[in-house]
Amino acid sequence: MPMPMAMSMSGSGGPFGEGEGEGEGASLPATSGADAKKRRVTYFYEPSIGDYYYGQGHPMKPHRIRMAHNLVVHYSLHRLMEICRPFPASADDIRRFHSDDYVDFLSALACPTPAPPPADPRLLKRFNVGEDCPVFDGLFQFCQASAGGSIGAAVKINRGDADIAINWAGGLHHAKKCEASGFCYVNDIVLGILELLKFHRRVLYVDIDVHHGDGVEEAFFTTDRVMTVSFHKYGDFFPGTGHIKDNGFGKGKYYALNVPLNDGMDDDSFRGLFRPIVQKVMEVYQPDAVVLQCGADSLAGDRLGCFNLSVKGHADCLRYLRSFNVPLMVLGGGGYTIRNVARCWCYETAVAVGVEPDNKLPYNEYYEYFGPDYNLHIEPKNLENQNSPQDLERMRNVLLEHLSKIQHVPSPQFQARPPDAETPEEEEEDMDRRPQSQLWSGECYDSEPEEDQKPQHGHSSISDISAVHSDNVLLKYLFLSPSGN
Amino acid sequence: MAGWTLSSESLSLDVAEILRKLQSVGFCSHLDVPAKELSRENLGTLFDRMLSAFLKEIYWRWEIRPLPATLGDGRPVDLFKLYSVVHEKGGYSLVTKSQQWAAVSEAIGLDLKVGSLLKLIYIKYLDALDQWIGVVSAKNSVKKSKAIIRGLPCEVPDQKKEEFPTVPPSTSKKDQSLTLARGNECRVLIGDSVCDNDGMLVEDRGAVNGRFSHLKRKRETLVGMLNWLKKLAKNAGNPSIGKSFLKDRMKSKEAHAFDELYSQVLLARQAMLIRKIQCTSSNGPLMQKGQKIHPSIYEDSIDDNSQNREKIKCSQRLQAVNKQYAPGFSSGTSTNPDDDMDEKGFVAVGGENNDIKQRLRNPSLMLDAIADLLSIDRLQKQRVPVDPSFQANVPDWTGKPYETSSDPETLKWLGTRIWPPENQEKRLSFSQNPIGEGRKDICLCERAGSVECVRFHVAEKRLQLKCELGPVFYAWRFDRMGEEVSLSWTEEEERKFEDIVRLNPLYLAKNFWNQLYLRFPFKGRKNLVSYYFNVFLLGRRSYQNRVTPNSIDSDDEEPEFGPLKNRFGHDAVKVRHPESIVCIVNAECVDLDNDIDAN
Repeated sequence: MPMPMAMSMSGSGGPFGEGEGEGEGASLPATSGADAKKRRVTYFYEPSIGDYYYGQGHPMKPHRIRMAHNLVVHYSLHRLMEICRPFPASADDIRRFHSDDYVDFLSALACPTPAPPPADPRLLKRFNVGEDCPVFDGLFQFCQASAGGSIGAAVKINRGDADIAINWAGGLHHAKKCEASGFCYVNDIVLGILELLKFHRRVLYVDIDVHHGDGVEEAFFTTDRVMTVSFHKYGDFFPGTGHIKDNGFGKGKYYALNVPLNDGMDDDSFRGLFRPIVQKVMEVYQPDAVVLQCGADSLAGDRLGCFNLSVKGHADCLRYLRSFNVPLMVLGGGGYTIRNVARCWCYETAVAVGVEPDNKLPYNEYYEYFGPDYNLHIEPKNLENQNSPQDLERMRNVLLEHLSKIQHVPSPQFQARPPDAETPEEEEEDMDRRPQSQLWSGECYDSEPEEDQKPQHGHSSISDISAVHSDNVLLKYLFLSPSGN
Repeated sequence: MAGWTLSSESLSLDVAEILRKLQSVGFCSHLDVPAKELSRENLGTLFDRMLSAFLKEIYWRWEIRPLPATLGDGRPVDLFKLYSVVHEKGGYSLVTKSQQWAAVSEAIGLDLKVGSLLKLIYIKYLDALDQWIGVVSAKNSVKKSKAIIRGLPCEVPDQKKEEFPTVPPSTSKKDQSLTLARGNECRVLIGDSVCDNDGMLVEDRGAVNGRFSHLKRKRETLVGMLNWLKKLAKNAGNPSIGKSFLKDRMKSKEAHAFDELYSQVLLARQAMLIRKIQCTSSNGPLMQKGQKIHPSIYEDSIDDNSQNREKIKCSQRLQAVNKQYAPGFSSGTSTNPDDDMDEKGFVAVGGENNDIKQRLRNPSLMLDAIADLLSIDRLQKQRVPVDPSFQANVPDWTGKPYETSSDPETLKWLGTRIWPPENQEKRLSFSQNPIGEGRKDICLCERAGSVECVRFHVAEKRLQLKCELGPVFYAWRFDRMGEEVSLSWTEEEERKFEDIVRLNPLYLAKNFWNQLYLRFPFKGRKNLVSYYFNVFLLGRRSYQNRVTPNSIDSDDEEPEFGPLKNRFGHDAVKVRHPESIVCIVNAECVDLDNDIDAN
């Protein structure tokens, strides 16, 4: 049973395909028409999500998800989607990633008694629950809804029921296996990806939140079945990880990619990095499914972020990934100027279903939040872009070169098989109950000019490195031991 | 002043030299080095200016050193005198070791008791100066020895130097290979393919020998130092090594090699220590815990105990150190675009061209060269913890799905389909407005854009939506969105809510929610939060849009301005004829109250 998107190849442009011709469109030239094809979109929404509240003055406001949903429905985008209420993830489901003691702690907070006993301060500290991640009313239910939506989105994709699955309540990328972090308690992304991995050999995770996607990177740091790519502000900024040199470990070496950026990233700069890098990643990694974390704190004017993207520039990432015709899971994330978050996620929902909505917002219950202009799109701020074109050019080249290392080892997991095993391709055909029509492959589009100038120089071999290691041990002994001075 | 014995001549050399040294690493660049000798007073002034500029440059943001320095009782301390005297007595460590602080105190005209205070002041104000001068001196000694090598009879032209065994003959083969590598080392330390301080052109070896990774070059060159260090460590008791150091350096070639390697080792040690700080500050999983995604929201919190604050401060401080030395993109400089790129090259990316020279003089970059190398093996381990207790358990791909995708355990995840509604597909044809349509340009309201106008159109759109969605309207809880939430509230309750929020602003570290829970015991948290977002903030935004459209914050929880009764601008949001609107609304949402009460 081929995926319906295969039919899109022969389909005509569709009513909204041309609407993207204003320079924001992301259609790949070689597959004309494919991008305009409608995708089967499933959208998860928990109607009570907006009533969760982190506390007075806390920048994270689940209300923004309700505002986004409100806009989506008032734009009538729901007519082009299937919309589901997520099944709440149970403590056992959350344990698929998180440690037992941490999940026990979280679920104990959901104690139904009118006045839950105050949590043990030692546990609060141990699990990093307190300041950034406060205990609030309904915390565990909130996590259940968020995780349930992302796992549901993964199941939808696994079953081939949807080409794109959206969960704006998901994308909580900082949560760690054993602790909360950065407003995130349960890492719905990791849980969703684990679900995807049951049916997909390789999953690509792309993160455009202004903060580094550390929780997801850490969870999949040592595997090559998930590749993580994060674009984020780096330097004196939460969470402090995401250096360009962090690129995975062991089997996962080179399967984590970090794009550290400075303040003031604008649409053009971002696009100039995002597109070539993602293109290369898609080419060398050939994922079977893609997860996009759409943290909206990379938008201009965010309360915590420092980038300068417009809604269109932000959504361009989704538009571009969508154009590859690979099953796509779209998640929320950060975003602390809530009116802009609602604008952004509404517009991205529209991009997913292939509609270009009017800039003038329809009247809606939260209309006054969007004044005084009451428009869908936002203007970038007059802010200096601290990323010089030279920096970005260099970064792009370094990362592309970095990626070319993967190309030389396309699927390590198969190389490890004994030679007498069946050839992987055949096996995949036989075993995969739902063979995918991989429409897109690395060869079928024109590479961009930057692509051609691949760095020529080789890198030092492993033996060089190991030769120095023994010396390092000596050095450390001399300098870092207490008596070293 | 009594006890002041230093001659002005020796002092003049002192300050000017210090300033030159500091400037060679990019500090105090706006100060002029005096051409002639200065009087005692002028020297002091110059020293103070230099110190003040220097302290500002190194202690930016996170630590301030108020000048003039004072003792606890407010008496000022002449830092110039203090510095001169301590150096005359052999430097800080010697003075401390021989317990001469009281004598120092006396020498600068203060009483004996304050010796220990002076020691603290010295550490606080002058120690950094000493350390940087030490770095400069170490660097200079590297250069000096190189210059001397160049001055030897077997001298060859600079640019060919590394192709020739120009190094002095050594006693063993090992030393020979060691010193061969050393030629490169100087280059790496001082900067690649750019002019160094002396304006000497350092040749880009990559251009000669084909494309070489900088990293590899660095590694290669440090091998010499490491071998030497190994040898030294193995022969710890061998006095001859130490002796050769004490010999007349200017003549012994071996001693030059020693001198140079010794400097490298010192630099390497410094680099490693800096790295250590960096790792613990931003990359260690433990420190991450202390880092906050949004620190500002805790600053006003009253229950924030001082210990926590200390922790945050401390980590900020470490971050500042980290930033100062960080090889991140924010602090680098631009290198030759033809230069091959690697991690080290990348370290130096960014910044403006006129910045280059200054940056490359910065020893921290030289240190990075070494530190980069030394941390290769640690990067992955320390930045992201690798352990089953951190990573997800990802099974290998077997080509076989673990379970069928239609067992009930999996199907539950599909959730409850709400749209399109079951058995109601026909409803879709009922809808009139096209998908993606925004609001109409024209409106026939008497006062277009007014609050009444907006309310009218919102209610209109709502009615339309309700017709289209049917029961789904309630399933998505549209009945509990927007101002309609207030219908279950009495006017008095609304006033009370507003007063409580207004009287307990966040900036006074007050929590209005506690008050709200107290004063509305029967409303329940959910209803209060719902009212807050759906009615209260919406009302305030409505006011802001019309009265203060330039200062808008949808996330504003500071009720300094807002729809406050009897204030300027309130008329702008007042509904003149509320009945007409409310009627429509009420007719529409007559079932709202029951619904809310039911929950």
